[in-house]
Amino acid sequence: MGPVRALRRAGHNLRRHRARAVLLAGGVAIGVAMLVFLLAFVAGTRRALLDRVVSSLPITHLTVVPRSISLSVIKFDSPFSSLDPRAVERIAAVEGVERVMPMAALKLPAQLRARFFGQGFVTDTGVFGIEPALVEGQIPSESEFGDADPQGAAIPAVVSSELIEMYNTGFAKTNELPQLTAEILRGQQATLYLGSSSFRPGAGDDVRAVLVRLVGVSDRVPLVGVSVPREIVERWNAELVGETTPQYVQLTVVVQSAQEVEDVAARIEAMGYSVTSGREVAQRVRTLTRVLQAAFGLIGLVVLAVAGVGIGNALLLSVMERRHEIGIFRSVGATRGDVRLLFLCEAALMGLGGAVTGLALAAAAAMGADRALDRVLPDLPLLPESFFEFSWPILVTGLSLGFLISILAAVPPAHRAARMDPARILTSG
Amino acid sequence: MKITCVEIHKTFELDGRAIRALDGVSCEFESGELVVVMGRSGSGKTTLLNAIGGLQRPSAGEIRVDGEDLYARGDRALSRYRNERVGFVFQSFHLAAAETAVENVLVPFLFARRRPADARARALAALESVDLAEQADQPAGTLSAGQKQRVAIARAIVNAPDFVLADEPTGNLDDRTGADIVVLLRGLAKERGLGVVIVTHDPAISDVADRVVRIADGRIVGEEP
Repeated sequence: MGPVRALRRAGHNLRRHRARAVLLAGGVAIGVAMLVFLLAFVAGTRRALLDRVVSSLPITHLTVVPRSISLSVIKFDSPFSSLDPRAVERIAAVEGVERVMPMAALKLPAQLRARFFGQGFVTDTGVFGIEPALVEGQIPSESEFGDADPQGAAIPAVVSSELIEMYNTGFAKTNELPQLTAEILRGQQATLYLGSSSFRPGAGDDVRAVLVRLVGVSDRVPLVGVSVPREIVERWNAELVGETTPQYVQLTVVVQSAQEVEDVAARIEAMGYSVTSGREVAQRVRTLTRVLQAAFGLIGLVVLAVAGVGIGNALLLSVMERRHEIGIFRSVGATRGDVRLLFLCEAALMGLGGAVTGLALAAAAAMGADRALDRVLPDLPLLPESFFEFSWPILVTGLSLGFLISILAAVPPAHRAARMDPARILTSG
Repeated sequence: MKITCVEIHKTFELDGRAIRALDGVSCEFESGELVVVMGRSGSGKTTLLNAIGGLQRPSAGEIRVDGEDLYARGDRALSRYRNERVGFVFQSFHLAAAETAVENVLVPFLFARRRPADARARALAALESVDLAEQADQPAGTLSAGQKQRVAIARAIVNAPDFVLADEPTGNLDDRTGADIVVLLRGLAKERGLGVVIVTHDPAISDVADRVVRIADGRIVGEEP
């Protein structure tokens, strides 16, 4: 009996015993659905996290900050790893470094006042000075973002895209305010009050008012604050707090090639600084999600194995119920191998049907879960569009495991059917 | 085709005791004759039938088919023997109740080396030869006991075997229907030159036999004529 004939007969047998076939395939479907659902959830979460990490910190970029010293609950920057222009020069000279982009912070509190949609808007804010190259490709016209003549002209500023997202999904929704977009914000003007804050409202000579003009949004600038060209912040720090040598809060180091990132990071760390790379963060995300994937995969496998045991037991019962059929098959010329093949083909068809149904169930459950999460977490910013990613490897894993476990579960019953004594079966009435 | 049993023995284990079903049986069966093997329940007649049908290996002795030791072959060759050379008919019919009469008759072709292109036509012809052509597409479960046994006979002859081996074929039938089945088997033996071996404890069947072999306690105790 060839495999094609066996498959055809197996299909015929399954149609004849439809209820039992549906029940057994249902077990496989549930196991596959659970496995694929969990794996797709981990993959979706990883994709969302990596999208954030990779877009905010390209793979060739390193973030360098002063090394911090931790004394129990107190934590402060090491005085031996300050980031000043000399440190920038030293780091720029490190082998493999293409460019260093320092980030300065205004050493004074500041308040931002603006009018959007006819409504006044006041907030405390940090003010950061960044290199235009940091937001290269993220703002429409880079030429607008430079050290403009401060005499009367509005200073170009960039805000964090994540801050806008948080505002839209949280504050704007709660207060029924219109949503902000990069297009709406671009060209808007606001006033920065340097030296003023909600806690220490300044007046007169203590406070300097400067006009800023938003030129775009970026996910590479600090989350809570307004970013302007670095030279401007350095100038304000010199004029307002008397800082003679700029002290930077962090440096963004561009490495010549992705292959050199780890070596360059090690060299800078050897100079006494803390270094974070997009690759390192991505690696941490990958490691974490791999652990989750393994754990969830294991849960799914256990469910599938339980389904497999169920199939095995049900098939054993089925073998006993169908012993006369087996006996007749043997009496009309079926070999032991034919009987074994028939039962394995039935299991394979049920496994395949169950696995395909399981994939559909997982997709449906994922859609349902996305909708439910969308309702439960409506105001949380930075949420991905979907928490699930159904990649080919996950689909193939689910399909092949469902299929394989069904066949493995069918091996003992098929073997038992093949070993049955037809003479005893057929004469037992 | 000639089947020769040479000193065959068959012993079963039952609750730790050895049951001797066949105890040195020697006999012959040839195509074209209808042989009735008679004996009481437990005499060993079914064991003899299963042994010559390639379903049950004897504990000792030899069954020769045209001079060749049947059980010297492997599972595949024995299965082919059951598929091509012999056809079984059982007391309990052993039909798939949900399947039609013709589907039941087609089952041997499932395990044939090559399924003939005219398998269905041959199955219908087999049903016609047992006067059941009109019930071909009727589920077997809806047929009467006599019709079921006719379907079982059609299944046994569909692959043109040399022998039909019938185990108590009238055991589940009333006298009249049983007599019809015996006449049918007799006719098939004559028309097709088939060897028919019927094991039974019903003395009425012996009337149509070419030869009667009597068996008791696993031994042949008589042969007529």
